[in-house]
Amino acid sequence: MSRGLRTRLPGSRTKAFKTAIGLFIGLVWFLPFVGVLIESIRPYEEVSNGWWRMDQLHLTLVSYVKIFSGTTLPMAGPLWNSFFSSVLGALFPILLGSMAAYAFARQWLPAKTVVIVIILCLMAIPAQMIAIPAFRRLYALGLLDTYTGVILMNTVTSLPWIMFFMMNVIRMQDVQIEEAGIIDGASDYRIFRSIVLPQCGPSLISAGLLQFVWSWNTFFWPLILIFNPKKMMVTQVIPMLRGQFYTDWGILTAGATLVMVVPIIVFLAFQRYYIQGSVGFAVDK
Amino acid sequence: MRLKSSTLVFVTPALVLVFFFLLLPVGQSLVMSLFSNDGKGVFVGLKNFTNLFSDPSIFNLKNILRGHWPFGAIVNNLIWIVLHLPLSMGMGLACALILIDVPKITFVRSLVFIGMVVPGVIIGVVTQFMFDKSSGMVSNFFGLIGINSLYVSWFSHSNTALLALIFTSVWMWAGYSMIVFFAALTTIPPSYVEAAIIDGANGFQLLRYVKIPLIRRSIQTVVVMSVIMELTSFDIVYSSTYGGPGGASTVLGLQMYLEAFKYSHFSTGTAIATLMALMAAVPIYFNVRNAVRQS
Repeated sequence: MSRGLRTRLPGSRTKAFKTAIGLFIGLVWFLPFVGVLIESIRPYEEVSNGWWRMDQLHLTLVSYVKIFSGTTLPMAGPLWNSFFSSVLGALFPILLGSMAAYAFARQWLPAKTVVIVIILCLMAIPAQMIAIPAFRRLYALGLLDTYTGVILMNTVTSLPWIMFFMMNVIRMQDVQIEEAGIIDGASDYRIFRSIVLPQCGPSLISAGLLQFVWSWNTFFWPLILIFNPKKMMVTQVIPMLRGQFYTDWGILTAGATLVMVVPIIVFLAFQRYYIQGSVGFAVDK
Repeated sequence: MRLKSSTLVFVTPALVLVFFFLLLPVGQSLVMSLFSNDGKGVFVGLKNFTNLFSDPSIFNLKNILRGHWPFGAIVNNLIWIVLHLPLSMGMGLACALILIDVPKITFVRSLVFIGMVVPGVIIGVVTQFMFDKSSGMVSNFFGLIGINSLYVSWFSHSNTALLALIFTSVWMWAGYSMIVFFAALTTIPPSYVEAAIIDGANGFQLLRYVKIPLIRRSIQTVVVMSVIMELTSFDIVYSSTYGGPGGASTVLGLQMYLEAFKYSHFSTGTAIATLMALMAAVPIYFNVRNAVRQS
């Protein structure tokens, strides 16, 4: 055996070992989701002792039919409610946040550092710390039990991180292009819209995707702000499908599948942007 | 320097919203926590806070001394941090190291990260497929290897319910530290690693003395974000155990929700919230410091 081969062997063996471990972790991490999916498409009698038992195997979509028509809360409504309020809950903070970020990055503002530090402190404040006064303020404004209230809270709670994220993005851009615009007589609004925003494209997509998914996933705000069953969001419906004494696991898993499929598709379709956003959202570059 | 009108147009909408719906509410919560629950505006000082520590659902001293569940929400949150932080970070680091060495299986990265993408309330449902006696894989695994004390529905026993939730959130959060560590590890110049190997470093020494020091900042970021998450966990608890059985798996976030929005004890609710914010102050401080240093 040649010397080169002998020294290579242990390396390739550890590599095979690492591949095996990696694949095993991937499998373990994914299996619970497979369990949910399988339980949603098989009759409950077959899976009551474990979804992996295959002694009897029938596939059925009856749980999906039931979740759209057989429960007191048909799922189509909440899916639509969550969808459009998440789109708006992403667009508003992205727009308002990048406007403010541009001013923070490029313009003079009194006590700018203090304002930025305060915003940073609010970035990770627990939602519980603002819940009661915010609830009362929304009540005073007549915004309880409205989509506006939920969208507003999703916007406000995400503004600090989007402002900070976009501020860093804009700062890293070449200021000369903007200066060229100023020399050509463009207004600040024109520079923001035609130079700064287009240059931030990928970062805006990252932030928008993350914010859409977070708005979709948010549970605390809909839980305390929405009471009318017709206006409920998907995350509110899922816990309600669990009965106190009896739970129809077919319906519950079908509902869970529908609710998680949306963010998973967004994530898989735009994976690079999504992961970049998640890393960049708090990390030093 | 002169304040331009365009600056005002750019910052006003965001700052007004942040002021009225974030900053002001934080101050109001602080003030509310010092007044009586009945809404008559009687100043009670720190009484709401001292009351929390005699409320067994928050801090159950008798059970803590006896070593019996339930211990109370604040202890549960601390247990959550102590277990979740090393486990999720260790798991994330292991995944990142493996995926860097074996680029062929990067799809594993997507699989592990899915936990961070789906809603917490769904995770609370999915967890039944790990810790339920009939359909949970972890429970059945223990049954298979003959440890019958763990071949049970973890959520219906007070001494396993919280552990099941913590392990679930490890599974959920490992993806976060994985992608952050992965991104940091890819920035390490290969020459550093090669130099260490030539000097005779083994795999562990390479990790301990070369790689980990070089990703120190990322580790700090993950610690900060994880502790904040661990202190504020609510969704998965609500949708899986609702704090049960008998309060064994309750957390501060859930107790705050119950006090404020079920029992209308607003001052108790704000006192719990303030307690949470005070506990989060340390990671928030580090977050702000890192961010200021960054920009």
